[in-house]
Amino acid sequence: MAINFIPTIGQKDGSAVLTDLTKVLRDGSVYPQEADIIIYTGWPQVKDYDGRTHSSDLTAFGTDYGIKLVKISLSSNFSEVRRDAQSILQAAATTDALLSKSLKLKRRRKLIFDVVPIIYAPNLDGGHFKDEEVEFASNEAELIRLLKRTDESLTTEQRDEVQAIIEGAKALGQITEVDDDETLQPIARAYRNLEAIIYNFDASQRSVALTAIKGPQRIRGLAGTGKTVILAMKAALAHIENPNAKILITYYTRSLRDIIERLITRFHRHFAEVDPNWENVHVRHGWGRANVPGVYRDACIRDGIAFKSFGDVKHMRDPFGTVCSELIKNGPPSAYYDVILVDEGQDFPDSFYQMCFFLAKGTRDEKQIIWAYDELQNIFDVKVREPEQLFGKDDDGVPRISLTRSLPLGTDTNDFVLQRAYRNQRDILVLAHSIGFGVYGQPVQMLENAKHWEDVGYDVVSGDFTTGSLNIVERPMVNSPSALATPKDVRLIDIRGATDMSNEVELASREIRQFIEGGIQPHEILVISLDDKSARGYFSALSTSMLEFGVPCNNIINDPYSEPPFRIDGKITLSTVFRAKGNEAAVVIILGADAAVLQTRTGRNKIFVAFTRTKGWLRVFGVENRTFTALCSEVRIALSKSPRIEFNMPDMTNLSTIQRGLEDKHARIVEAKRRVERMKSELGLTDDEIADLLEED
Amino acid sequence: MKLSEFNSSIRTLSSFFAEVGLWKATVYMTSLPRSEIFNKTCLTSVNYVEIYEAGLSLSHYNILLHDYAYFQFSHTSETEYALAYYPNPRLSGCTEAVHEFRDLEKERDNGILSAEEFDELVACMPARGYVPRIRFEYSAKQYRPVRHPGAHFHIGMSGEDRWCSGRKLSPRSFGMLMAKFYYPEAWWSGSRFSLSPEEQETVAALSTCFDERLLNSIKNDGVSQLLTDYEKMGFHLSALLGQSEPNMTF
Repeated sequence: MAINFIPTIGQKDGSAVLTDLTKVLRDGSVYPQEADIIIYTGWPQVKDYDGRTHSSDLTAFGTDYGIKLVKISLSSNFSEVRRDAQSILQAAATTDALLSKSLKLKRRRKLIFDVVPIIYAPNLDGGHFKDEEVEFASNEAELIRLLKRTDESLTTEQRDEVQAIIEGAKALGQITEVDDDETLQPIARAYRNLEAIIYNFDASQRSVALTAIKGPQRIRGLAGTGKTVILAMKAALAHIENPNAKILITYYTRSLRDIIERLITRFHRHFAEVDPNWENVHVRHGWGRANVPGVYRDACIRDGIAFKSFGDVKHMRDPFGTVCSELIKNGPPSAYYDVILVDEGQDFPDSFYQMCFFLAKGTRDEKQIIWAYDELQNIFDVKVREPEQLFGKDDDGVPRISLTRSLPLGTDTNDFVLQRAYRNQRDILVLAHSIGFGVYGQPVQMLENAKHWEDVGYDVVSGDFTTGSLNIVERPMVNSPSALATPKDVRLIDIRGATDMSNEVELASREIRQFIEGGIQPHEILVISLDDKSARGYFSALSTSMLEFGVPCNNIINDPYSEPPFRIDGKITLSTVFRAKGNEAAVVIILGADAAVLQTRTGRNKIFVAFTRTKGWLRVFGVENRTFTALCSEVRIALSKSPRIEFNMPDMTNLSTIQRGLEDKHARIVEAKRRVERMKSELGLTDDEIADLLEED
Repeated sequence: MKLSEFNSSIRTLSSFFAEVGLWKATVYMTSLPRSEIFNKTCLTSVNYVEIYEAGLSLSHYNILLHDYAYFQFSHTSETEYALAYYPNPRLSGCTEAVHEFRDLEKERDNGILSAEEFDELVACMPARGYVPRIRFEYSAKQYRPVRHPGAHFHIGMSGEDRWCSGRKLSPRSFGMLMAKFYYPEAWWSGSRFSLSPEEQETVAALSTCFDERLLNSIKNDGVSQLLTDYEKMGFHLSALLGQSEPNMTF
């Protein structure tokens, strides 16, 4: 088994000894070929009661070797080496304490393996060192001997547990307080087991979070691949590493703030046992408002420039892009942040990235800007805007950011692709893709070739993707590993038609009651209205119905002013599709599916986003009409073919032309409405008078 | 006031607001549970907008009105309860602001504005605080003669003002009073005093008007005994002696 090497954010530069040592360990001459070993540099990092950070320069963990934490002390001064020894002892003690919380790793009230602190001091005579708590190595051979010392063999489950604890994934597992296993009902138990899988998300993804690279990085992945979690973890780690560093994590959808803050808090508490200092960790909306901090707003305030709100530029074609461009043109904003993390990167205009470029400290190839990008959530188009486009060119005509140029020597990549979608059940993701593309109805968009399907985690079964060809792709379990063992009498996905709106609400509320009675917490249920116009009516009726059942609702759209928490304990979340972006729940109930727009990309993308909010069950409701019947038919076909998607390749040029035409038409209609409104107000006409005028014509 | 009466009063008030077209949502039909986050904001901030927005974003209210003003009603025991009206600092009490808001709503509903554009625009409206926050508290535990009357109002953000009251108030009476003072259009449409003097006294007017419903509600709420004679002589909020309450003090 290969040695897994993770150079983390805590890794210090310039230690030739560490570099050489890492090389020796990685080249396979130390451990046997079959050994299962993970090497971390700069990890773990923990804090003591006084708030001081202690880290290991090199940590080796193996299924048969326990955990060895090494501190390299190059000093020949005894007291300095002794201080380093105390530091690694503290790191080992805290790591031991973290691992000891897991009963899986204990026997007779003790950890089944040792967490061994080692001080490696090649410039000090070992004869002086008498600390029994810390192992001492004065030369490489001695150090290797200590690292190779075997320990209790661990099972695969125990190994995974250790790794999850060391790497912080366990911090996520505490999000839900669970009842005693014996009292859990089948639905609740199924969901609890699913959460354990999701939050223990796979080691390769965690290593993206832990890996430190100097300079910019991009993280690409579908909805539910863990991008937000990775960014939150990076923010927490950067804060632990340097509590004085200014760290920014920014997002586009206002309701994301809550989850990002909670994730950072959990990770930080896991390693540092205290809450982060929010003075230095800024969780900010990209724009901000007069009363709400934001990246653009804060930059304006710092530089003494008048802040422009949406209202000031609402008539511009690209309002947010315009204000960011203006800010840069006025003289670029001052550098302020040591680390900038951008979530939902696909939603931001280029000029926002350019603003971030200036806000980040350091030379252009050293700027710590890390952006997560979901090429499919916003538009079903795998043409990602490349960094050269996003960040633009510098004064010398050279791209400000180039991932290739800034990749440090000896680093594998700074452009990560996450293929495994942890959030969604495989059938739900396949369904969402089928509906999103429109393959069983009216295709509105399509991935261009086999490579693109593979990029989003599908295997190509057959087809050459030429126009008119029959193609079959299949989503392997490995790329959708979170399998929910739903009880036999509870379907994973269901779609049901109603006679009218009140019947629809009644059906939905009955379904919600069943989930709550089955042990699902109200805040794990998310109701999304696909019909924006009727959302208020739906939510009002549903809230009333749920109140009779004694369960309150958190109606997100009843707060137009701030960034409301998406999830409030004990309350069912009610949201529109836009507000639900980036969020998730155990159960998603869709209302107003009869108002879905199946003819346009925008309409189908909305359905895709709504469906992919669920980690578990999906229920779709709508009043029976032609659209709903068509959607039902597509859902049924998609489910019958899942995990495969079968489709005839449409003519891509034709498809784009039709869609562009529809989008242009929609834009013209909106513009016409705008002008009519203006005319009404200028001439003092009523709606009826305008209508009469049109009829006369 | 017993908890069951308190909760029933909230339900009646919720129906009243629906009837007059001011109701937007009800999150709790019962006494409001404790919210640590909201309480922390109240204790650490003197900024009304911040406190108002905290309650709104946490859905920490019983009833939400059409202008996004809300009511909080919490009952701890028969002799301890608090009622609060949180007006929307951007809209409540300002007709122009409400019109501007409704216009934007219309544009959103007609597809001219997206939901997020709408949110951005309404959030940019100035928060001028046209109407003060009103709270009513009834507490036997905290009662201190003259210094801390048992039943009292807080008006605005001071917290140290205690406008003593000779009456206990239920959520229903409190909510109806807020409707009368701060939503006059809705109130007077159902008041018999909007009718001609002759019509005002008809059986039909008396049986359906808001005025009698409020009066009856106040009568049912009863008198606060936690008020000294000294305070009774001074200025205090109360109701006129009614026939149904011969022992009522003033």
